[in-house]
Order: sequence, then C-alpha cells, then structure tokens
Amino acid sequence: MTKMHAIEHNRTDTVAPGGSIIDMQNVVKTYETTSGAFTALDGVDMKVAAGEYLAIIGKSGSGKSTMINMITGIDRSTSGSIVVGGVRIADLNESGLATWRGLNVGVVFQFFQLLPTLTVVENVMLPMEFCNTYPSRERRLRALDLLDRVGIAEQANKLPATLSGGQQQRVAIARALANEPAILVADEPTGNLDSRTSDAVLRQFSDLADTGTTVIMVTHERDVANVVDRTITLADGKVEADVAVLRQPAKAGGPK
Amino acid sequence: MSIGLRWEKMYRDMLGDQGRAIFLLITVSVGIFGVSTILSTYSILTREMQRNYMDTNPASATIDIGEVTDAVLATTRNFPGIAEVEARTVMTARVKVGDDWLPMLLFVIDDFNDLRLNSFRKVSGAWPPPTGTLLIEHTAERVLKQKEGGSVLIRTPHGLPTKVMISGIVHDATLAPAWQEQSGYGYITRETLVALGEPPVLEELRIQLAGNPANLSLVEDTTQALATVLREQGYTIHELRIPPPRTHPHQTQMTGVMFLLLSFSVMALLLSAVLVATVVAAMLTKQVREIGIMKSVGARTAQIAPMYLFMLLFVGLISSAIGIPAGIFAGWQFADMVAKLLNLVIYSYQAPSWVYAILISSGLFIPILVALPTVMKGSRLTVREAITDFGVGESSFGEGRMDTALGRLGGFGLPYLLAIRNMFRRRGRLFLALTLLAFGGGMFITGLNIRDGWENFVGRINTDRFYDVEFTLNDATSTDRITRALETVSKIRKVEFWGVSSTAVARDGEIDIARTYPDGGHGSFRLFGTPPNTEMIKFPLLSGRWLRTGDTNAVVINQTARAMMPMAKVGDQIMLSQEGTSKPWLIVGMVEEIGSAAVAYVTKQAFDEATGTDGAAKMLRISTSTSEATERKEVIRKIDSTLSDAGISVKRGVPLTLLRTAMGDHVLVLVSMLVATSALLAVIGILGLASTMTMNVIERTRELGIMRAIGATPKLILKIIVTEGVAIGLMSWVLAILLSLPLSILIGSIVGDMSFKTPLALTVSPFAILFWFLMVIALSALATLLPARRAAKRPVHEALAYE
Repeated sequence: MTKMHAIEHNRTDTVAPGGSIIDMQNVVKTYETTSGAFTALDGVDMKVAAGEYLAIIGKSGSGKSTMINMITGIDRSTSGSIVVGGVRIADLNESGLATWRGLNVGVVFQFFQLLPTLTVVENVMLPMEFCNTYPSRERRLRALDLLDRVGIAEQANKLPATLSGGQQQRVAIARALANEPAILVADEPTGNLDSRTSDAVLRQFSDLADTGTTVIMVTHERDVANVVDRTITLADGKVEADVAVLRQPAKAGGPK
Repeated sequence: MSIGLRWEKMYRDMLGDQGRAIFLLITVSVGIFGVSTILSTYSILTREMQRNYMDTNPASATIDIGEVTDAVLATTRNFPGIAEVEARTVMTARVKVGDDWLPMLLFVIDDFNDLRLNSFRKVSGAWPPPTGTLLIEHTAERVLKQKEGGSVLIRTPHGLPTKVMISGIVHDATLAPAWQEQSGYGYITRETLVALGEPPVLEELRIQLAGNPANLSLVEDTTQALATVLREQGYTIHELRIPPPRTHPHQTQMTGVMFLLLSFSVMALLLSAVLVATVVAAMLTKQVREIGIMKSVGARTAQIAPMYLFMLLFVGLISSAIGIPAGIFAGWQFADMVAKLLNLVIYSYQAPSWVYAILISSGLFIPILVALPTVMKGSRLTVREAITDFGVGESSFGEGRMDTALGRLGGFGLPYLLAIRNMFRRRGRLFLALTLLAFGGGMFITGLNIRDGWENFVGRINTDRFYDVEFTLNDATSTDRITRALETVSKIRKVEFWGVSSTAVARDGEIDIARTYPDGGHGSFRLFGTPPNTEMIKFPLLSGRWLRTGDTNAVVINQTARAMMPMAKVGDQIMLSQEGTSKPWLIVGMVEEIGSAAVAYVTKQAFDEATGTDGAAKMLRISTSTSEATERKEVIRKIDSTLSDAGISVKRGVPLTLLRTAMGDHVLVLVSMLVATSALLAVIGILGLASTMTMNVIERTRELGIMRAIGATPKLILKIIVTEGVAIGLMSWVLAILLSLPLSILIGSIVGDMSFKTPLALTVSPFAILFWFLMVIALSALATLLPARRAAKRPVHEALAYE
C-alpha cells in the first residue's frame, strides 16, 4: 500500500483544465561531434495543454526526435527549462527519470520495438512490472484488456516475431498505455505501416486524446496535420510554425 | 588498396576496439600458457628422469646367489654378452628414530671408488665412508632427523644396535624419496657391515649386458643362461630380478600423468582458439559494411581475408610472446616440484627445440586455423550482401520450436523471465560459454573428487585391516618361542603367525624371474602363509572365495599380483616359487587389497609344507586391546623391544598408522596439478562468458534502451544482465557436475591403476560441488558486471539510436 502510494506520488500531478502539461522554455540542445558542436534545438519554447493532440512536423534533421527525447527525459537539454506535469525533468536522476517516464509517459517507437523474447501480453505487462503499478495478479488482466482495446487480444500469447508490422504497432500502443500515462509520445508511429493500418493507429490516438490523454506525435508526413489539434513545424532546431487546426475525424477502417 | 593502407586500417581497427584486442590476447595467452607449462615440464622431466636413471648405469639384472665369490665374478665377467659386473648387498636393517625403530635399507658396496652399476652421486662429506660410518641418501635426512656429522643407531638382522656416524650425503636417483617410503637409506662398506655384526658377504650379483639393451627377452635369456651355468657350478640361485630395462621405476606413472595433463592443456588451448573464432566472428559482423565498401571500391576476397588473418597472426604472435615464456617458467617450477617427489636432479631446464617449435606454431596458427572458416565466409560476402546487412546479425527470436517453448515458460518475475529467455537467443554462443565453463568446473570438481577418492582409498587400510602392527622377522622363528616372549606384554589382543616369502611366477626348467627393482620394493611379489580364519584382514573379494582351513594347494591373489599374470583367473593353476622351490597352486579367489604390492595368500599350513617352516613364523600381525593412540604406540614399542630382548631378530615393524602415512601424500601433486589445470580452463571459461555477455549486451543495446524508455531503472537493467550471466554460470555448474563424473572415473582409474592396479571408487566431493557453486556464481557475476554496467550507464537516447 505504501509502495503504491509512493508511486502515485511520483505520478504527474493533474493539470487544471486549460493549463499546460508540458512547458518548454528556451530549450537548447547541442551535441558535441568530431566536426564541431551541432545544435539540434535552438531556443525552443512550447506549451502543450492536457488532452491536446499535437503533431511535431519537420524534415529529417530538423530536431523532431530531439524534441521528443527532451519531453520524455530520454535525453537532457543543454540549457533551458522543461517541466512536464509539474515535474522539472532536470531535477530527476537516471533512476528517478526511468520510473517517472514509466508512470507518466507512454512511448511508441517507429519500429515498434517490442522485446522479442517476451510474449505480446508480457510486453504489455512490462511497464507495470518495472514501475510496480497494479497488484501483480491484475497486471495480466489489464494487459489483456489493453490488447483487446487495440483489437489484438487473440495474439496475446504469441511472440512478437510472429506478428505483422501493424499488429506489432498496436501491441506497442497497448504497452505505452500500460500505466495509464497522462502523455503518449509517438515517434513516426505510422512510418512503417501501410495507409490502412496507419489510419487505424491515428484514429486510436485521436480516441485517446478525446479521453484526456495528451498525445504528441512526431512525423514527417504533413498529411497527418488534419487529424490533430495542432501542428508545430520545426526547421533547423527552431519552431517555424505553430498552427492550431480543427481536428477532422480519422478515416474509417482498421480495428473495430 | 596498397598493402600499407590495408595494414594501417587493421591497425587502427584494433586500436579502435582495444577491449576486444586485449581480450583476444588474454584468451590466446592463457591457452598457450597452459600448453607451454605442461609441454615444457613433460619434456624436461622425461629427459631428466631418463638421464638421472641412465647416469646410475642401472643393472640389467640382479642374481641373488647367497655369496658372490671371486670365482662367481670371474665366471660372470667371462660370460658372453656381459659387459659389467658388480657384487652388492641390500640389507633391511633397522634404525632408531626417537623411540621407534624404522626400516633402514643398507646398501653394502664392494668398492666406492669403482662403482660400476646402480651408482649414486656424492653430495657432500666423505667418499668412501670410513669404516664404522655410513653415507645417507639426502632424502633420508628428514626421516632420520639427522644430518651429516650426526649419528644413528642401527641394528642389522644378526647384530646388536650400533651407533654409526653419518659421514656423508649421497643422491641415489633410483630410489623414491625416503620420506615417501618412511625408510632410511644408508651406504656402507663391507668393513662397516662386519662392524655391524654381519658376515662380510655380498649376496647379489649385478650384471649389465653389453650396450645395456632395452630388449627384455634378450636380458632374460642371457641372465637365465648365466644363472644356469652358475647353478651347474654348484651355486644356489635364490632369485633372478629383472626390472623393465632402461626404465625408471616411476617412468610409466610419470608419463601417464603428464600425458593426462597435456591432453587437458591442449584442450584448454583448443577451447581458447574456439573462443577467439567467435570473437573474430563478432568483429567481422561489425565490419560487414566496411567489407562491402572495400569491395565496392575494388578489393578482392584474396585481399580482404589476409587482413583479418594477419590480425590473428599478430594476436598469436603477441600471445605467444607472453604465454610461452610465462608457461616455460611455470614449467620449471612444476618440473622442480615433481623432480623432488621423484628424487630426481634436474641438470638442465632447457626445453628441447621441438617444444618451442610446437608451441610457437600452435600459438601462431591454431587461432588462425580455427577462425579460418569464419574469416573466409566474411571476406567472401558480395557487395550487395555486405552493404544491405544491418550490422547486427540478430536472428529473429520466436520462430523456432524452442522459442515457442521458452515463450510458455513462466513462474518468474518478468525481468528474470527476460534474462532466462535471453540466454537462449544465441544458442551457439551459449553452448560455447557453457562448454568452456563446464570444462573448467568439471576439472576442478574432478581434482577434488580424486583427492577424496584417494583419501577413501587410503582409508581402506584401516577398514580392511584389523591389526595394529606387522613385524617381519629375519628368520622363521618358533611360534611357541614368540608366544612365550610376548606373554609378558600386556594389552595385546591377538597375535597371528604368518609365513612370508618373496615369490615369483615359476617357469618350467627356468629359474624364477622377479620384476623387483634393486630397492627391493618396486615390483616385488610376496607369498603369505595365512591363518585361514584370520581376524587381521578382510579384503573385498573380486572373484572366487577366501582360503579355508584344510586348503593345501589353494591360493588367493590380490589385484596387483593378477596384473603380473593378466590371463590368470579363478580355477587356473599357477607355479609359484618360494624359498628356492616351486609348487603348483590353484587360484581359488582374487581380492582387492589397498596398501601393498603383489601378494599371493595360501594357508599357513600349505605355506609351511612348501617352505618346511612348520611351527615357525616369519611375520606377526598383532592387534592391541587399546584404542588410545599413545598407549598403542607404547604397546608396539614394548612388543618390539621384548622380541629383541628374547633374541628374535626383527627385520621391520610397520604400525598400520605408518603404512597409511606413507600412502597419504602420494597423489597430492597430481591433485594440485588437476586443480591448476582446471583454473586455466576456468579462466578461459570466464573469458568465454564475459565475451558472450559482452556480445549479447551489445546486440541488445537498443532493446535495453527501449526498456529504459518504458520505465526500467539502470539498476534493474544491471540486474537483468547479471542474472543472465549467473544463470549461464549455474547451468554450467550442473554440467560441470555431470562432466566431473566420467572424468573422475577416468582419472581415478589411471591413478588407481598406477598405485594399486585397481581403479579408485568414484567419490563425489560435496565440498568441491559447493565451492564451485559459489565460485561460479561469483565469477559469472564478475564476468557480466562490466558489460552490464556499461549497458546500464549508456544514455537512453544513444541506446535507442544504436544500430
């Protein structure tokens, strides 16, 4: 009980309606390379409201992935301030960051990145085990429920290698949702999927945003712009455009 | 691409991957070190043993003739085929050390300045020893607790205890160290023999054939012919002794042990080479794209393969430069240790040039040969294959049956489940790591199993024998006389009267040939006249039955005697000689006897009839009624002095505890060598595990990044990786135990056969198993910690971007 309390304590605070769940101010990220310093983010300011469905768009090398790494705490900024859900990322050590991320940020990768030696359901249970959320007996049930939500429960006991790309990406989404994170971050989630499966994935993100989850998607595909609430375009590490759009319903198809 | 540039690339590649380069160097160095140690020891010891032995100018044969007269010497010198002749006596006297009488072999020399056969070397002091003094063998100092200038109290069979000064020290390379045999060795002149109360008679005629041939049947035929001539001249021939020609008494054992150790060290080298091949395979995997690029700009397979082979040659060269000198040095130490145990002097530590040739070519070429298929495969890749390779040759998990079965495995927390399933992802690599570790552990456990097995073996002296002391008398003495003498000694539970005679397998029309070496111990064969209902011994029966009262021609032989006549079985008749006569005996049983040379047991009654010693005994086996060690020792001393006081001449008195002590330490060197070899294999095993885990972790870098991204802390990552390494260690532990069983049986049979011609019973050492369990856990954790820490500390974004 105490443990659960501690974990709950580590969870991102609820954010008042209309408040920012992500607040980046003057964030700079510079990499030292053999050919000199390379600035991936150059004084980026960005605020994201809770429940917002946001796409970060840009060409290769524009700083999109670095931006995601900053928000998720996967990498640290060179300067500037990043506050996510009231937590200043820079204040956390590596262990603290890992647990915080596991509890508060679900990450979906371009190449699905499921662990090949764990079954589908075990992959989904993994974040719960890492962060010690939910009583251990409930974890499997919850994982099965999440798999059901993404329409892939029947594959639960298979190993990832036996699944198609689209199926693997749905497992990855279920895994990202395992700890009911307030934020879902997806790095090129449709990059390796056919258009039908891509639409289904985007619709799931839209549904999540509708239920209050903040969804941030990095993509170089400009045509996803009309399925999100807002697009931020990056170029050379700077915000080039920040446009609010009227979200249109995603195309039908994909999982029921 | 010019040759210079290619080598430049290899050089920079190695510099850029220093960890792996060092790893390769250590692995090959360890393998080369092991082989260098054993091969140099083997070559030095074999040569030095032969040199030590041949330097003594060993006699081809010894004829026990009772008294070697000038006429005998003249006949022998003129006999065709005889090159050297010398008369000598080896007498078993007794020496007082503290309060105890120990056996003392006295070598009576006709002329110290004209030693012709079985010579020995002066170390210090007088030469020849002045009358009334003796020289002692240098290893006897420890037993006699005296040095040159000191004196000892000696009693010969027919003399009184006489104080004799030690006037010098000699080295006799044909004798086992005195402390091993618990006996003194002394060298005296004929005049001193007289002073000790014995007649100035030399009993043994030692001969050497022209050219000292190695041909046993030639030695036998010539010796038989000479003995027949001497017999025809009226001399009594008691025995012919012909040990294996030109062979040191311990030659076979030493060669056997060294061969065993050599095979294990060669195995260590081969395993290290296999490990090298896998590391090279991993290096090539990393280089696949570069190979593609080189090929796309015009490189041919014949230009690329030599680059990698040259790198291996370079590794072999450096490893040989480290491993060979270190191994040769260790070989010197080991040779020294064994030489002390065998009482040899090492005149030269120089390993022969063939040893260097083998070592250098093994060091240079074995890694290349083993890695050749991998290098050729990598170098033959086409440009398209090479540049489309993803860099990490990860086969997908989940498609095979085993993967599916592993997928069903449960009952652990997910991190542990992950560790266990990860173990089986690269099965070839797992197999290699397991094999390497299991061999190390198996050898370690075997070493200690053999130690325990030997302890049990030696322990059988106490469980199969129920007497406390055995006295051998110089002459067959009336049992009544002995009984009367011992009546005054209290705390004697029982005295049994035995007959004893040296014996040999007799051949029709020929004089018996014994295989005994001139020390009288090695290769000896004795006939015991035994009370059929003896309470003093109970040996396990191998076949047939034990003696019964009334048996007149029945004989039971022990396994060492059987080894002398391998075709013999229960129901066969054998001719045995005793006291100059021979008689047919029917083998009714075979027993397993630890702690004695070859023995044939017949009933006391049958023995007396054969030897004409009715009512007399030459050996007493006595049990005391005290279980307290000090008191027992006192009783034994009392018996000894009482017999002497009664004028009964004791040849030797051997308390059972002394017999056990004499056997106790014989195999310790072998055990320590087995353990040392196992340490080599264990080092290679740990290197193998470290390499396996490093490669596993590198391949899974991105996966570990994902785990970090979804909430795994660095500590947990460390735990998962170390768990995997320790799990491999534990699997290898189980395999090591299984492997140790046949190894223990194999080595136990070699050790047992060398000592008592019977295999050591398989003994499993719980200590060894437990100790190796703890070691393997600690070592696997240690081997895994480095790659695990590196993985845990790697920034998540770098891990995610890893290709």
